[in-house]
Amino acid sequence: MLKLHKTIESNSALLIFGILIVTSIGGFVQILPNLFDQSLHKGTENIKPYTALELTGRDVYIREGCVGCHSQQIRPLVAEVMRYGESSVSGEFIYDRPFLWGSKRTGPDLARIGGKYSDKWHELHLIDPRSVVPESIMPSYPWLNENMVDKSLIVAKLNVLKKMDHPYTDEQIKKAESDLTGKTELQAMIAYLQVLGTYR
Amino acid sequence: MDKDTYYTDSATVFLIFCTMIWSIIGMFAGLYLAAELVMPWLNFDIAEITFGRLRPFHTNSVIFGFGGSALIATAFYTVQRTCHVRLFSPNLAWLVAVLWQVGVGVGLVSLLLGYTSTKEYAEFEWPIDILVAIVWISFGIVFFGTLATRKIRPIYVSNWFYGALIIVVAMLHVVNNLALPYSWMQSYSVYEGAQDAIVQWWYGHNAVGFFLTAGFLGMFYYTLPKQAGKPIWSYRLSVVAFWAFVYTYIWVGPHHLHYTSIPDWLMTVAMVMSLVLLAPSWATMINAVMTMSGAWDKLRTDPGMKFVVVSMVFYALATFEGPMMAIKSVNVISHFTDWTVGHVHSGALGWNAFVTFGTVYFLAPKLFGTTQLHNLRLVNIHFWLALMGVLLYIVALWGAGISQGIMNLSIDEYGQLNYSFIDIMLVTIPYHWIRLFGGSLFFVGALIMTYNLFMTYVAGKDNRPVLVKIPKVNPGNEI
Amino acid sequence: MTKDVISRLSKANYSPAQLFFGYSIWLGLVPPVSAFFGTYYNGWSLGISDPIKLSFSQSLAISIFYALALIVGFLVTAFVIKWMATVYAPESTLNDAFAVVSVVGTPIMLAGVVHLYPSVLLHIIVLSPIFAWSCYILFCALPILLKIDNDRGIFMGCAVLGFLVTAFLALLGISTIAWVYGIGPNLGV
Repeated sequence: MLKLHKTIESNSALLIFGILIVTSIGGFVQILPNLFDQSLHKGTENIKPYTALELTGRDVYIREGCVGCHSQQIRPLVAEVMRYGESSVSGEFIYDRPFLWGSKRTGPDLARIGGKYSDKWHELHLIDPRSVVPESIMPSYPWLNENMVDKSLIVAKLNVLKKMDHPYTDEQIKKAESDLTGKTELQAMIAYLQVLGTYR
Repeated sequence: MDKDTYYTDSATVFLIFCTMIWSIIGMFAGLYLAAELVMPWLNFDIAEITFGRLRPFHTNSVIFGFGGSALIATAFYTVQRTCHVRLFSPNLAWLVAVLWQVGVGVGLVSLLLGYTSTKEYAEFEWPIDILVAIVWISFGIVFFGTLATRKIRPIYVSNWFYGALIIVVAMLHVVNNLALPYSWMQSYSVYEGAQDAIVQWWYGHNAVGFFLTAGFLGMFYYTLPKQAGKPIWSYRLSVVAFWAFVYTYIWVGPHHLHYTSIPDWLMTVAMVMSLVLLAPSWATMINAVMTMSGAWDKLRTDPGMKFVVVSMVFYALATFEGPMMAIKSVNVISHFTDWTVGHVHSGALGWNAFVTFGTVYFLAPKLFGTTQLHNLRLVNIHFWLALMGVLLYIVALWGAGISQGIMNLSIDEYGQLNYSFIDIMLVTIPYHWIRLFGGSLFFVGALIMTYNLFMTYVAGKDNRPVLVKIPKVNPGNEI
Repeated sequence: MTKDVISRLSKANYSPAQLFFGYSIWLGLVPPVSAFFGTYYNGWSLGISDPIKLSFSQSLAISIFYALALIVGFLVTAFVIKWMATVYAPESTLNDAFAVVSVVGTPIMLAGVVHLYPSVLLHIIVLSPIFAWSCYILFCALPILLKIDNDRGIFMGCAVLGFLVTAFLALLGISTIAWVYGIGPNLGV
């Protein structure tokens, strides 16, 4: 055994090769089967791809790093289901690129925030969280209300997603820009938040 | 003078200063984040410094700026000494050293501007990913080129770890960052939903495993025997621990996804492998402890050694805590809470930063052309500040994490939730203050160290360039 | 001052049994007894809601387990120190190991009175400096009681500290598993 190792450690090519083989095993076993596991890639019954406005809101959510404090993943635990709603299933996330499950809840989970509060509440809360939740430690996002959404990228975004099998119709892509006309980033973000978790 | 008879260390010196500068930038960002949690007005309604954008800035600057620079610096230093040969292409080494700073720097600015892929520790967008990949491969060329041209037959254990670091991080980086761009700075991941989560945590945990553990073990396996003045206690143990470590680590990623929407078998496999991982981790620790024992007097002469001794304590702690938190029943409580944050910091501050500080204190006088550090008292002050800081930090976040975990799940006798989310948040605040205080101590320590190193550098200005002659290889060990 | 007291103890030369039954065990009763009165009369709380009071039998059961855990912890730590001493201080005896644990544990055990008042925050504020002090005592006591030089003391201190923190963490993990399986607080899992 040690003799074999003397050979490996006397030859840098063997060492590189050995490390590569030994470390690939785990990755192959964990990642490859899932690429072909249909249950992971099959959507829930009502799932729809994000509309142009929702997708734009999602990209604002990504840009501001909301995922650093808010998870989007309800674990199947009694208390968690009571607090946030039905537990999450993989089929709800098939149009999420990248996934936004998060790893830390400095703020509450948002997987089923859609429909829980009014658009007006979200507007007030995003512009100044402490106006509706006095104890909140969330930053204010007043600039969302001032910035108009960037329309120039939406067609490119939808085309890229379509290439990855998100079922957008040509018509949807054609009118995507006009869908965003006159919308602020705040409106896009609220549209995204209100659709979260409603596709189960 | 024949250049080939001397080692080349200029890139290492440059990288050591980059390490210190990144430690200040990265730790200050962390401190500011900790302050934002207790004083949210510190966000000042400035988009670039809100918590969400600053957090990836903090993680990437400490991992890749501080950790990355320290690893490349010590890899360049160690691989020459253990191979008895000058670096393969010192010019390429310099290019790696400089471009690494450029890549990380540009990436960090882009994060503040909102260009992020949101995948933890892989937030850089595609153009920067490509730049980083090119620099990393060049690093691999310098490193393996040096190994290939070595004059001594056996490859020393440090280099196995550095090698694993380079190979595996390259593999992880490429696979996890695959994405289709929709603009010159933005892209969508080629994986979706649950699949993306699995790939991301395969990357995420092994970025920790191979960047922050394997790489730093390489540093450690060189520094410790040098400081203790004797060889590694058990060669056989280091062989077994190395291969067990690289094989097992790659499996454990899905323990970050316990009870989420991924297949159950993945969680079970990850949990079992995480528990198995305790064995090679502690084998390494035991090997280190036995190597240190007997070198008592070195503590008085070597100011960096205390740091390395303490880094082993936190290594043992963090590698015990990790597998424990990977047990599903513990994870139910700890997941999504500050306990995870505390665990990461007991590893990153207690193990990575301590071993880096110890190594840099050990190497600096040699590289800067002085016989001793500028001020040994300051090293002592740094040591106690850092130790108290990290202890306060992790104890505070244990308290915070356990409170959050229990309160999140706690129900009363009628089956109703006991606490609202705001309750949970309010309970955490005092702990966050203690954590902020602990973090400040650690940060002040890093400032003191940077000053001390700078003064040491100034003191050695007449003795540079430092030329270290490559020694003769012992007969029987030639290649 | 601390060092003087330790030196005197070192010279007094009690046997492990004398030390354990004559001193440590009585001191070790402070936290469980406080915990009993605390949980029975004042309840316990995570700091936000009204404290939850436990029944007499529950409080008693918890305190007894607590006391047993402390005794086991004391003995295990003493034997671990004795075991570590084979490397760091081959001259020392089990007696010395018992003395180390007693000395280091004294402030922590006395601070156990905070269990009377159910506030996690109070515990953290009181216990943090106490633990820091115990840490200091550990590093002072090892060289004196085990009769080794200071450098070895620092090495061994780190080793003992590492063991203690890891053991604490293991207890935390075991408690978490117990909670999740329905022992202790009522969790909806």
